[in-house]
Parts: sequence; C-alpha cells; structure tokens
Amino acid sequence: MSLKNMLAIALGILSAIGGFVDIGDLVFNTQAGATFGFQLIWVVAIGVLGIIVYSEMCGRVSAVSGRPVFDLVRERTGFGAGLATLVASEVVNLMTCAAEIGGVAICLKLLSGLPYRMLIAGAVIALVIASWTLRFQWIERLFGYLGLCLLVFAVAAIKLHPPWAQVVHGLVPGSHEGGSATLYLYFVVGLLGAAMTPYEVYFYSSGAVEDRWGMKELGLNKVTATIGYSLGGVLSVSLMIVAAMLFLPNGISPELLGTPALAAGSTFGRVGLLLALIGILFAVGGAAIETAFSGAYNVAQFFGWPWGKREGPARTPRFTAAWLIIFGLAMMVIMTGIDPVKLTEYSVIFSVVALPLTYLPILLVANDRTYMGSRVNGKLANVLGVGYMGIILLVAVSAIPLMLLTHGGQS
Amino acid sequence: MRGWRGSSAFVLCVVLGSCTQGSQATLAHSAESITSLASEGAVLGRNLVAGRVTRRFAIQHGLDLQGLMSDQMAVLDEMTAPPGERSQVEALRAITHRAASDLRRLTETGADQATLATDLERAATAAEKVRGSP
Repeated sequence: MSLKNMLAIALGILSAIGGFVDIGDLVFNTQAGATFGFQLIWVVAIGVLGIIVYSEMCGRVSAVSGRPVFDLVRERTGFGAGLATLVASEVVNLMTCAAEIGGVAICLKLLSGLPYRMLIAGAVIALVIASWTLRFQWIERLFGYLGLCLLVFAVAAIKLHPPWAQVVHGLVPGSHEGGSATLYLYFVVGLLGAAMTPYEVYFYSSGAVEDRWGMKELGLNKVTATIGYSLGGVLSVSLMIVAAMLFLPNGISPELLGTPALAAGSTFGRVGLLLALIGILFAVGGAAIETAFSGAYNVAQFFGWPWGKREGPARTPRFTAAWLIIFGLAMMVIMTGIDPVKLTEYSVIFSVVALPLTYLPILLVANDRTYMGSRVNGKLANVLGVGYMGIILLVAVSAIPLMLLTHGGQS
Repeated sequence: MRGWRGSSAFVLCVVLGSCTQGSQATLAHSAESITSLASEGAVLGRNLVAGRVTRRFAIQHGLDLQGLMSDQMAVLDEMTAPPGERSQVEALRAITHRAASDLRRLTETGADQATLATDLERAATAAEKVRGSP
C-alpha cells in the first residue's frame, strides 16, 4: 500500500471519528450514563456494529454500481415504498437538522454570550457559506477534524479512573439497577437510534459517489467504516463514562447541551471546557450539513434530478435548492423556540421508527446480483444484516410506546 | 385485523395512562428535576470559584439552569395537589424559589460564589428529601 493510500485511509478514519458523534449521541449517551451508569454500554457496542455493517454495505453498493443507495431504493422497491421511505427520511432529516442548528447556536452562545436567535441565523448563514464554497472533501475534513476536539471526553474518561471492571461488565446485556424497566428500554431504543441514524448511511453512500469510489476503494470502504465508526463509538462510550462518574453521583440528569462541556471543565479546567465546546460545535455543525445534504440527496435521487456537490449549483439547481430549503425550514423550526435537546430526543425516536424503511432496501440491494455482480453480501454480512433487521423491527415497534410511557425519557 | 385492534388498544392505553398520571408522579418528577438543576448549579459554582470554567460560560449556563428552574416553578404553581401532598408542594416551591434566586446571583459580578454553591447543594439535598418522603 502506497503512502498516499495510507494517508487517505488515515484521513478518512479521522473524519469518520470526528463526524460520528452528533447531537443525538451527545444527548442520549450523557443522559444514559447519568441515569444508568455503565449499564448501557452494550447498546452502544451493538449500535456501532450495526452502523458498520450497513455503512459497509452502502459504500460497497455505491462503489460497485456507481449509484447511491436511495437511487436504487425506488428502482428496487417501487414508487409507493420508495415514497414512504422518502417522506419518513425527509421528516427525520428536517427535525435532526433543526436540532443540530440549535446545538450550534447553543455552543456559540456559551462561547460568546450573544443572543440565541441571532446566533441561530448566524449559524445557518455560516453553514450555508461553508456548504456552498467548500469542496465536498473539505466539508468532511474541516468538521470531522475539528470535531476530534471531542476526544477530550475520551481522555477525561480515563483521567476520572472509572471502575474498569464495571465498565467492561457494561458490555454484557443484563438486568439493571436504578431507574424503571421502561426507562431502561427507552434508553436502549434511543441509544440504538442515535448510533444508527438513517442520514448517516445516506450521506455515506452519496459521499462515496461524490468521492468517485470504484472497485479499488472497496478496501478503503471496509477500513473506514470499521475503524472510523468503532473509534467514534469509543467517543460515545466516553461520554457515558464521564456522565456516570460526574453526574450520576450528584443526581444530575443532563437537560442542557452545556452540561457535557461542564464535565470537561470539571476534569481539565478551561482548556477542557473550550475543547469540549469547539468539539461539540463542529460535530453538530458537520451533522447539520450532513442532514441537509442527506435530505437533498434523497429527494434528488428519488426524482432523478441531477445531483452532487461536485457538479456545482449551475448543473444541479434543484439539488442545490433542496439543501438550501432544508436549511431554511430547519432554521424556522428552531427559531420557534423549541428546545434543541427535546427536539433531538423526538428526532432520534422518530428515526428509530423509520429505520426499517432505511435499512431493508439496503439489505435487498446489497444482495441483488443485478446491481452487485459477484460483490453481493457474503455469509457474514447477511447473518449480521438479517440479525440487525430483526433488532431494528423490534425497536421500531416499541419506540413510540416507550416514549409515551416514559414521558420522553423523564420517568 | 385482530392484530391492528390489539395494537390500537395498546397505544390508547398508553396515551390514556400518560394523561391520567397522578399529582404524586408529577411531584416526584419535579423534585427529581429540581434536585438535578440545583446540583448542577452547585457544580457550576464550584468550578467557577476554582477557575475551571470561563465567566461567560458560567453566566450563560447558569441562566439556562435558572430558566429550567423557573419552568419547574411554573409547574408547581399550576399544580392542584390533594391535601396530603400540599406540604410537600409548598416545601418544594420554597426550595425552587431559593435555588432559582441562587442561580441568578451566581451569574452576577461580586457574588459570593462559594457560598451560593454550598446553598445550591443544600437545595439539592432538600429537594431529594421531598422526593423521598411519602
């Protein structure tokens, strides 16, 4: 392997780590750690393996067929099922994008002290300028690399000297202590939803086409998905450990985005606080762009419009209008004053409901020799893919009842 | 068809169950939330005294905590508790009022942040006691 290829892999992995954590992971992992300590680490492990399995499939489909997943969804599943998938994914994308923009504005407010609504408008303008002017690869890199500041939580998790035996025990599913059974199950569903968010696979798949992946990139796809998401999962677990060590003993149930940053400040002082705020700012900022683009990719691919950041706005006017509209609508949603943390919880739970619509077509296409030739799923990918489909169906059915029973995770 | 009916009945039960929650549950939830907010305020105050957070962060985060505390105050004000729970509601109201005031003062220049952090810690303990009382 040449030095250039190794560098490309390393850069891909770094941006995948920084880009893995979004507002959903921040909210659910810290709340889960503050409520159940280390007992839900196993859910993060299962969720991360799930996103690795399906992202690898998506990347492979794109590399082999030269087409992104959503392009094939309508062709493979028909207009009705394709439209249902499109509507569900657009609603979830919009909610998530609004929550991420709110997250950016909160971080800016904590850093600058300026008025929140003014910062929402400023954040959207900055994100639109970044999306418009930067090349696709640089959008991924800028937000992914600066999102790596979140590694402060991984270092904090080690510095806090957690009882490692209990941390390892948290990898084993089992009975729980503290909190009700329904609340425990609600967090199981939320953590899975946060780890397997649909927009991530759509963005990954379209990104593979934007980066012009071919058969040569199949190895890169496997390595980036496996190592990048695994290390991203380590960040999620770190958030849970830090919350378990600092918030659980004090009876703190995080309701604000500034609370995880406060934990970094408690551990490392002002430098830790600033690193955490910058990391959160770029992680949620990157996720806001990903959700807006993911929404535009889906709608353009469904209706067969020309699409792609690489092509430029003049060649893809409807695709460009789509992501601009998503940013505009998301800004209007968050300007209503809705709490971004609450909106995140709802968007994650609704994304769980939409998970089967996202992942089933991917599984079908990855097994279709018409598109994939000899690169169809192997035995391992199919066993894991079908197993995860079972899990996804189970959590999709239970998500809304659990949200109602626990009043959105409050009791 | 039977499956759909079963599912609809389940969802209806869940919705109705959530609407007819007793005041005891609301009180317990409020007490839990107030404990959490006061405790976080105490952590913020101690960090501010130790110079571990910036003043700007402390002001903004403190105001956010105070906003959530005011929301809890509004919940308690609107609550119509049965006679057996009134003393608990009153106690929690007093704690919330004091904690909200401490959080506001925490963000003001020249305030004795160490004392305020201790007061907030006491408020958290008191709210926890209300939550634990029958």
